[in-house]
Amino acid sequence: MSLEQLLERLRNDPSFLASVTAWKVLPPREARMSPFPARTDPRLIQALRARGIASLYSHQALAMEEVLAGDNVVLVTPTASGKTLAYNLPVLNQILSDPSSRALYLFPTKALSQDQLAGLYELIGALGEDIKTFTYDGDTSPTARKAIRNAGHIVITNPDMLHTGILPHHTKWIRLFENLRYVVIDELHQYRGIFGSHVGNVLRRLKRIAAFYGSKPQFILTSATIANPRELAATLVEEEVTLIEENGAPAGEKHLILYNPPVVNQQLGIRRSSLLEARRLALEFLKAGVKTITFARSRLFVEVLLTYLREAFPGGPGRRERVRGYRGGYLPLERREIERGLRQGEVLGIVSTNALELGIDVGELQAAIITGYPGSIASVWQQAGRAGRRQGVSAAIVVASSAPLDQFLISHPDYFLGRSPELGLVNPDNLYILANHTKCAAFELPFADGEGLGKKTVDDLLAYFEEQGLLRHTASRWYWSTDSFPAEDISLRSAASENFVIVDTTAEPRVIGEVDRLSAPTLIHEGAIYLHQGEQYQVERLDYENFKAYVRRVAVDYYTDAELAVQIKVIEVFKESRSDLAARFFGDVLVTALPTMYKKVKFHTHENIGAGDIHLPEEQMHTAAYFLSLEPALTGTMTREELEGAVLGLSHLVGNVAPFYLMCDPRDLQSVPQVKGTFTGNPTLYLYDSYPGGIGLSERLFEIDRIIFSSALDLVAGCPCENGCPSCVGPANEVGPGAKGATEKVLRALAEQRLK
Amino acid sequence: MDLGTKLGMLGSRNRSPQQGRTDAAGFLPAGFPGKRQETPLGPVFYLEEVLPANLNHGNRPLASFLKTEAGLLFRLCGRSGAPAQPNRQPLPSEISQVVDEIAVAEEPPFGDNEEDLSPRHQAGEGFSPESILFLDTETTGLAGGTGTYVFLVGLGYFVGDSFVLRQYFLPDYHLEPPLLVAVAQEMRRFPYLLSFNGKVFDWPLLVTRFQLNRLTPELPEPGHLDFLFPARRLWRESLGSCSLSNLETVLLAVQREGDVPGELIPSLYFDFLRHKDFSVIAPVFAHNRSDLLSLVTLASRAVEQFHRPADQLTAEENLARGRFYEALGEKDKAILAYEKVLWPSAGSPRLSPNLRQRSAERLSLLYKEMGRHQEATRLWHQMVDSGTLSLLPYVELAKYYEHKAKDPLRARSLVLAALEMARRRHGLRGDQFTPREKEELRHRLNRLEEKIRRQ
Ligand SMILES: [Zn+2]
Repeated sequence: MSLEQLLERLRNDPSFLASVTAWKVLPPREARMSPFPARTDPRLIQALRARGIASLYSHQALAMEEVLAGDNVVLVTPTASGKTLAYNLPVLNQILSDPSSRALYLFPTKALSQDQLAGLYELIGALGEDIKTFTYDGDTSPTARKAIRNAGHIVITNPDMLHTGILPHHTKWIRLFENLRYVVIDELHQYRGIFGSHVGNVLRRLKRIAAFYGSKPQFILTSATIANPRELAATLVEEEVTLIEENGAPAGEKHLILYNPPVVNQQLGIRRSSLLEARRLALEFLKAGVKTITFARSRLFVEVLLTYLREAFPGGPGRRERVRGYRGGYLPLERREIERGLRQGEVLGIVSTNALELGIDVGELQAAIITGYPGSIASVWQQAGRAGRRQGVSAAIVVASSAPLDQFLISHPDYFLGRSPELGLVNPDNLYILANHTKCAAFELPFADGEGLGKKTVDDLLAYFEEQGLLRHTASRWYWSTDSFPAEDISLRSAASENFVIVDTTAEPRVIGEVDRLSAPTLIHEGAIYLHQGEQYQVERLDYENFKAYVRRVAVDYYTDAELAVQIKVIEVFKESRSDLAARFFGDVLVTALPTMYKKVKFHTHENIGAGDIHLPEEQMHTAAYFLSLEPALTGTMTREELEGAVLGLSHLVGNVAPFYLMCDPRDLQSVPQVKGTFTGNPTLYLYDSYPGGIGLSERLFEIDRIIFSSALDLVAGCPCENGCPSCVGPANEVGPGAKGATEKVLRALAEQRLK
Repeated sequence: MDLGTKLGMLGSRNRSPQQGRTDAAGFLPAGFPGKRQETPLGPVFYLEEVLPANLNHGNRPLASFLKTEAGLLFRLCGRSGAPAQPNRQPLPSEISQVVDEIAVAEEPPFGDNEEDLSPRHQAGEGFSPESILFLDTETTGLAGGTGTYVFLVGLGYFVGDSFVLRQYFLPDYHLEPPLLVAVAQEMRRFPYLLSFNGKVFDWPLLVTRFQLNRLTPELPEPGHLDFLFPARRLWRESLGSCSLSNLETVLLAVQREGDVPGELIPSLYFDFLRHKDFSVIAPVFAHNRSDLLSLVTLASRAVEQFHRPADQLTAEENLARGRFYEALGEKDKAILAYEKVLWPSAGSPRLSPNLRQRSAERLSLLYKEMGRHQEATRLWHQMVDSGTLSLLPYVELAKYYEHKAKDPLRARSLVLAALEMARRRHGLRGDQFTPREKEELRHRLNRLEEKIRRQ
């Protein structure tokens, strides 16, 4: 059955349509073309013509012209719009006119850069010129590294490798840095939050070293649609950036279907599990022979879905699995093997985390099933963009989970089609992040007195590091004066520098994956079920000191889910504003978190079948927080129960809606309710950045909290449940029967309040 | 919350505050017994010692180096003056005994990477004991990268009856440019440089320092020989660890008293910077001096080992000697050395099966290459009779009987015996033939069956 036929059938299936909240058909779009800009090298034009490209999409030509004019450019275009050519063109043009020129390409992940290499090779092959392109990442062999350093015109790498492998060894890369003309940063919108704040500093270090060797590179960035691409780009590169967002590429017909699983218990507001619905839909597509990718939000869900789909869709005896898993924690070889299977077509279905959302070209996928809102609308479009390229019909189904944000978005389809409200936020000046990169920068080149890191002065930090015995100040410079290699201890990806290694001890001990430190207490505590490639492993011992988790393969019918107990102490208030009803603050807090227990949740039924204690040390964090204290004028008439319900409900709702606008993972912004606030004595809601020093989330929250209150109000008022459910204020049995009404009342008041 | 408190939560490790802050460019560290030399880029500080060449270091006089046969030393360091034997096929036992042979597999058969030497240096032009500058550096860390500084450059060379030791010292970071230029000037006086692990560590670090100070044009290009490579080839079999400290203890009977452990050297330098008191860093100078002297005498000890009669060497040393000559293409000498391993003089300690097997494999192949087929086949039969777990004698005998003796039946029985041996080996050691080995055996067996049928 073809995809068209399947869609036709679904269109006539009343039970399917009953759950569809929106079915948008994006008509096919004609290409808008422009001639090659005047300064395009004739050899390049000829090579492109030979490959059937006689003119450029309008945005490609515009990007080329802006770059030739010497501007930094950020290009905002959807998947499959030829953005790769948009930056390859000016780069190759420059190298053709001056073969000593060098360019550096940064991709957020390794797998992506492998793919880039193939595309670029083709174009260079067609050119027939001696232009050398290399991928430099953790998988590059030592002998190849030497060649790359000397000869590579275009070096393709990722920020992590730039951070630990290139910048601290910059003398080995003299040819690159002396002649660095362009830095291409693909997938800009990925560089937000912690990762983006780190990368902003890595770029400061890059520019500092380029300046040392006498070069000042131009930046070419690409981004998915977000609300503030130019702001994000300018913050990261600390320069003016020109925005290009008009897309000239053609597209095939695309169906976007928003699907809300049916309510199975009206009173409790319980809907069918999105995971089960996604499985059902995926099977329907796979059985019709439609190549389908199913996205799940977490590693856990990927593994669970994979188990489900393989049960129902086994690869025949002796044959390879036709449904494969794909996620970040897999080791490189595993990943490459899966990517190859996809390209060669022996794999029909893929279950993936967001790792595949990045622009990896996996060929013939026709349909994408997105299980739960993936955290940003940009991600929805990128995941949807995995299915269907420039021609032909494709379909994407977003299956809402019962999470409040999913419920909010599934009933607001305009957010998917209108202008994106999502902000990409970074805070490269986060003291902790800045301090770490100041160390790295001092290791790379001594700081001169008064020299900053990028536009940020770091005098205080340098003096502090001297006190700490890391630097030595002499003859007006600050020299690295300790025997450590700072970049090695600093991870760009996670809040903590160390990752836990998962060691499988079922047979000969072997490493099967890694988990970052923040996730460790909840994912790999002793007793946890850790899933990897559809296999279950139980954590037998967590060696907290040495960052190792020892696991053994098991076969059980449940997964585990852990809980944390959190305390908050306010240290300093930076901003505040008050009304009669509430006081709002932004400031520094000290958070103390202690993992307490975990639940065992049965597969399929998702019922709770047991629990266990977690014995891990308490973690402390100093970070930025937004907090809201409700004044007696607002809550005075409420009963104790109502008040409790309102604070819990508010926490549940706001904690879930805010990440949408701040474009962060819900884990990046933690929400903690206090019925009797320790700071003001009144009921208080805290939302803090879950990274030391903050990454700009709660600070921005202080500015846009009213928008969030009104969205939360929308959500709770529109929820079909009676007394609260997981989709709005939380399940009634947890927040109390009066919570829904009380929360709604508080939100209405807050949305209408007048500020002093 | 102040910066310190906030950052205190970062968990910085090193907590001792820096003192001894100084901006004075020209000074002599308190108690520094060396010299200060003015240069256009600033002052240079060094300690110079002229030692009589007949001074003993451990159990050998320094002068023993002057008496070494330069050509042999040069070849020992992997400088054959001619391309080393190209692309030697690994022996079967090397494939199966990966763990044992790991160093062999990692290193090229002989000679480290030559591509970085000029043709003149590769040819050994002007090579003599007096043409060599000995190099050993002390640094602020082992991690490498641009934030690791070289703070002590130890250089040594022979002049007449003396050995001159010069230790260039960095009394503070900003005085790096004059130090580098002075070191470069000294280096340019010598066509060759000898170090221990300098190819991987000291030299790249020095290059980095030159580049960072924009002094790349000053960088000399000596013919750099790294003694670590020959040391491993010569003594890994017999001594295991080829660290300089182990080699000097065992081979030279050097006893260091109050020596600084290497890992403490950076922190002593940081202490020195805080207090600018020479006594803090003096032990590092002594350590560096001793390393240099050990390098001199170790090199002479290595050459001498080749002049010693085979009878006086251990089996391991004879195996190393055999490999060395084999790599140089001096097959007769290699054969003598291997024969000495297999048939030592009476009263020698029992040979380990591993050592026996590897020597026999190499010797038998050399016999074969030299056309000494009778001796080769005798040795292979001995190996098979002694129950070897090596595939080589079976395969070689099968080849011999098939092609030379034209006896396919006998050849087939050997292939079958090899397959049987594979099962035994699997039972004993748990290792298997590689797919390629199996494929080859099966292919050979088929061909033999075919021949036998046609007869
Ligand atoms: Zn509800």
